[in-house]
Amino acid sequence: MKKILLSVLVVFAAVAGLSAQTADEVINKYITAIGGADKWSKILSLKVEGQIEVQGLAIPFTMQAVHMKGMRVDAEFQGNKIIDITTPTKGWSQNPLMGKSSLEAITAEELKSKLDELDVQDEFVNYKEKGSTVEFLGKEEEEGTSYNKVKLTTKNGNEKTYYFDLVTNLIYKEETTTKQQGQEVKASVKYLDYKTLENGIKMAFKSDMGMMMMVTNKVTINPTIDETIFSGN
Amino acid sequence: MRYLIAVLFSGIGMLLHAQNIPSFNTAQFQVMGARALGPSTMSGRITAIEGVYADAQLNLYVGTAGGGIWKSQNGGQSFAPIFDKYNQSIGALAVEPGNARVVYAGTGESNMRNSVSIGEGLYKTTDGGSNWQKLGLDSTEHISKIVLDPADKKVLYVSAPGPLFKASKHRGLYKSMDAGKTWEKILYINENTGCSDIAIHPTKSNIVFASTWEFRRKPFSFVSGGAGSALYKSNDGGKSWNKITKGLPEGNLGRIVIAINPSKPSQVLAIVEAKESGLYQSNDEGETWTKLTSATGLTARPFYFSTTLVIDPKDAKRVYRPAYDFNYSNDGGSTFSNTVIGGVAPHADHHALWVNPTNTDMLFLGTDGGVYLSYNKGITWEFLNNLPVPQFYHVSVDNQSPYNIYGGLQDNNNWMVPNTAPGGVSSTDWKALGGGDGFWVQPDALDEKIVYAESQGGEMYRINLRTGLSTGIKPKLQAGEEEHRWNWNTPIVTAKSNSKSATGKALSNLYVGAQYLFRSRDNGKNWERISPDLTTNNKAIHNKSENSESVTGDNTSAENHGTIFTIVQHPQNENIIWVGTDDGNLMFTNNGGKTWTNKNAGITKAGVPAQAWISSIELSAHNPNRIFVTLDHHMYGDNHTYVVVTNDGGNSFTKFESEEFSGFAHIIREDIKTPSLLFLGTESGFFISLNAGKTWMRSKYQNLPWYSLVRDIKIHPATNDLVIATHGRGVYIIDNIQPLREMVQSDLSKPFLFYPIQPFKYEFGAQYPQSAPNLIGYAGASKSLAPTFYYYLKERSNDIVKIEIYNSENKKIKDLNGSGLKGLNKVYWTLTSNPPRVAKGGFIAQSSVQAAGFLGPKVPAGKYRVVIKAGKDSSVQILSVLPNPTVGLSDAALQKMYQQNMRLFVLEEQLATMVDTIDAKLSVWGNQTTNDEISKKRKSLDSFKRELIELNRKSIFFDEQKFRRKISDFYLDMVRALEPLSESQEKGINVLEAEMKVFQDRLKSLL
Repeated sequence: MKKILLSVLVVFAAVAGLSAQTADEVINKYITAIGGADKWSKILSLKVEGQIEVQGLAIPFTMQAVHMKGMRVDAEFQGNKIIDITTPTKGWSQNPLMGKSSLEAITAEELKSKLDELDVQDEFVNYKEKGSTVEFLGKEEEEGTSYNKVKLTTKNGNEKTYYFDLVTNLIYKEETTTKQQGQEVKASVKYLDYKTLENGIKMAFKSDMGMMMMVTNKVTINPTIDETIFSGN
Repeated sequence: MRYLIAVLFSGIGMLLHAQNIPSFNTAQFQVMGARALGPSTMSGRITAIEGVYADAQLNLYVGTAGGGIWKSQNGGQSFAPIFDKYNQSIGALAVEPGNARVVYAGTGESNMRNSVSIGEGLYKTTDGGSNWQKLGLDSTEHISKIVLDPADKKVLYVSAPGPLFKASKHRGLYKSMDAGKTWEKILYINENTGCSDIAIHPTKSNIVFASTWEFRRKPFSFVSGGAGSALYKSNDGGKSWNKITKGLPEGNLGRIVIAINPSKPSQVLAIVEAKESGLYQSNDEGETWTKLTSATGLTARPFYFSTTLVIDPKDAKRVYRPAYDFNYSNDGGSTFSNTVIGGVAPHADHHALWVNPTNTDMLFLGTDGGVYLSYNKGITWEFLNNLPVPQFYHVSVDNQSPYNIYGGLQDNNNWMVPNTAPGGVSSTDWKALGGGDGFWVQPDALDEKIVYAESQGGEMYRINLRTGLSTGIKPKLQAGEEEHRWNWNTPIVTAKSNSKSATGKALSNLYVGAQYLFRSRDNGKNWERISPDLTTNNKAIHNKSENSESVTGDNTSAENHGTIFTIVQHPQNENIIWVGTDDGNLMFTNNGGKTWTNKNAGITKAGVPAQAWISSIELSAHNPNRIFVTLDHHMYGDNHTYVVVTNDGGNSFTKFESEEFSGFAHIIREDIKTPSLLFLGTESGFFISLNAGKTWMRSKYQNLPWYSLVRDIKIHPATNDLVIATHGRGVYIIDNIQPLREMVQSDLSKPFLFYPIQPFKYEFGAQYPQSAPNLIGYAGASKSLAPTFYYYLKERSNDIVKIEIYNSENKKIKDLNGSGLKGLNKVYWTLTSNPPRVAKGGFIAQSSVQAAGFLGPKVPAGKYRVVIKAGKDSSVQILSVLPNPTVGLSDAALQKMYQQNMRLFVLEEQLATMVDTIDAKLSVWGNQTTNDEISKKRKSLDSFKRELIELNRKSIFFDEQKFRRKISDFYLDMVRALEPLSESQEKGINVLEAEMKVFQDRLKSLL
């Protein structure tokens, strides 16, 4: 490369041709690793039971979601009920620990950052049809290990960078950038303890958020969920 | 070569198992992360500022001389670093018009002073700095400007002055037509002349101006200007160029900065360095020029300031020339003022200015001391106290508790700070110790209230911290001596003396070096010259600024050469002194300076150029014949990392080599306890070796930027803290490296290791006095004071690591989640047991009731069994928590405090059980609404419950207090207490216990 510069004074940049093809290769391997698109596409509702662990305390929670229609999380701490509801058009939250003693509507901006969660099928399953775009960011070292890095931008405008394990092809880490009052805010979570469910899909049963750990105890696929629980009343 | 190294280290012994070495990197001990102390107090050199609105928020990108790129999303009220994985010296930034997230960054600043750092090309982000791609131009070393075509965002121009210390083809004006993918060099003069500035016409973007600049630095001289310097104009986007001369000065020119008037683009301004430098104006799109003024405030030091000349985007008459101070004109540049009224005067030496185009009153100015903000076009300023990018040269520590750190800063004085402070080490904890540029600052080896410090060129002084008074102490020329030559960064070194005064008083040594070595044993009052000229004394390489070929002269002692640069005295034997010079001599005496030997030959033989600066010398604490030396040859255009070691007292040396290395070497440090553990600082990274230099790792996970400019490293002898001085990101401390030592010496082929826990002596970190919150600026973390568990995992855990702590009665008192990182893991225990079960019910947010459910009582002194479970593996260690009677925490006091706390803990849980019983009963009775008797009982029980817990509280502003709150308030007092309750206060618990008894009895009757 240096020789070219010396002779004709033209530098060819070191940007490798990081094509969408490469991103798809990584994503396809991942989808295969989590059980395949077919099985995931059949998931229309989901119930997850578990607990949030903070400093030796366990706060039990239940998450119920109907694909692209609504999601609701119920938790309880010291007799105080924590509720979080997201629908495509509105969201509510109640968290007495944060001073919200009753169910209050969330702002449009907060809602936007949560809309992606309504997708109970994995975000990468049929991502194009869902209106998301992907970009392969190359192989990068994280905590001393190399990962394939892929950036996903959803149709809601949320940006997420995923780290795919080179051996298992599973996601190890997710970094999200969301906008709050015009400021970009970053957060990250690590996915641990992948388990295969009875329908053959694979899911992380633990999410490490640094100070907090989300532990899944039970997953029910396609339960019947009464959609009135998403009404915010 | 390999064989030689193998033989060399065979005596040290293999501490690491060979099979573990290849896969090892610093992520494996990422938990040994540093505390970044900053400070932001005086910040550091700012080289580029670009602003842009996104989502109605003013985003700022700030480039620094050695601290990377910082981004603000709120007009400068807070910043975050966004370039920590890349070269830290920033020359230029550019934001794509209309897209705040597309940013180009040119590395290698172009303010060509002696201490300037070196870049490695151009980068681009398309997501606001989260991810970066390299675009090339790797060997240009310095980039001064990036300009995008206003008509086509895919077209960009980059000016590269190119390498400062050598001839090179990697300089000139580069153009890309495809947003940075490929580049063409469109203006190139010769190997000694680069491109220093570009300006593009805002509406006719085929009109481009570029200035070429011939310049060169050597260790002993600087030349700005020559036949290659000129102003060029292109009318076809850089395909062809016309040299512009009409009306410009004749003869050799120097550096030229150009500005096209945005609101009147036929008018162009340029400051031209020439025999008589001046500000020139053209009114015909740059064809012909006339001089407006030669005011020295505009024209001084063009090599340092001719990156910035700005015209207000809306007002064609308002011209800004940030230079040594801030100059502004209201008449298009004929006359200037530098008056500052009110606010603070910005730090001297300006290199960047961004005028907000939507509100041209608002200016952001980049100086040698951070960013300043004006709301009135530069008349008044305020300092942004939130950018921790200071450029340290040297760092030292004392033996106080907490120990202090001392260091000198580029253009920003000398400073001291306690390594930890209540609430964090804030801006206001840093105290100035004088100076201009600051370098070496050290307390006396005997009396730590006496501190020696200096400014450039060896202008040294002694400060008495008792009186706060300072006196100059620089050795004066004596008869028979040649004129003293003091390095810009003159070494001042303190050391213990084995000698006593005539009256039997202990003495300390103070050394300073010109070309001679001087020693004082009376705090710098009297000096003894203890060497002849220790340099090569080659007159050809001495600074002769009066003979400079530079178009304009500059002589600030930065080119003083043929000087002593490094001094080390053996810590136990004052007769042994090693001295390194900036012209390659490594001098040694073992008789306190009576005779000297040059050990340079062995280094040269090892393959290091003879004239390389001796940047540091480290005497091994483990082997008297082992000496480490770092060498710096970059001022001869050679940026190689030179580090050598001798095991025979300096007769022969071997070079350390590593593919990881980059940047010229500044400092090597051997661990005081573990000989295989070495630390190396270069212009471009912090490196760690766990096997005595056989292999090296770049530190990427110790919280420092990957390519930090590391100037100095110290290990505190008492705390085993590693203190790192960077030239662009301030001071870092890796607390207590003992776990790293243990890790190095353990068998890392095992899947899981739980290291012995260091006994912990009960201690609480100071809480007060704290800095006023509004003055904190950037705050570095304070030291953590808690027992710490370290364990090693060969592979990353796919599950949570569980930690259980048992007391001496084998009762489990605490559960913790641990990290599952590959390599070393670290978990603090705050010496508290699990919290009590608290009675449920009502709105408890931000009340003592809520807190009580989170916080456990402090445990007493004693032995604790710690069990760590990682997957199938499990291991146990014993932690000794020791009393600390000297601070009032005797065994008995701690025990008493615990018992008092437990009495309240029991009350909390008794009440919780009571409320559970009540709730269960109410629930049963609730189903029998038809029964009047039950209904009555239910009512009584419900009203009883309302005496116990707060059910009327609806907001945090309603302080309802029932029995639960009384217990919880007291419990919380106790959890937070740092000493046991007095006899009278403890009676308060009796009252609550008696009340509990009454409630329990009453409940029985209600059920």
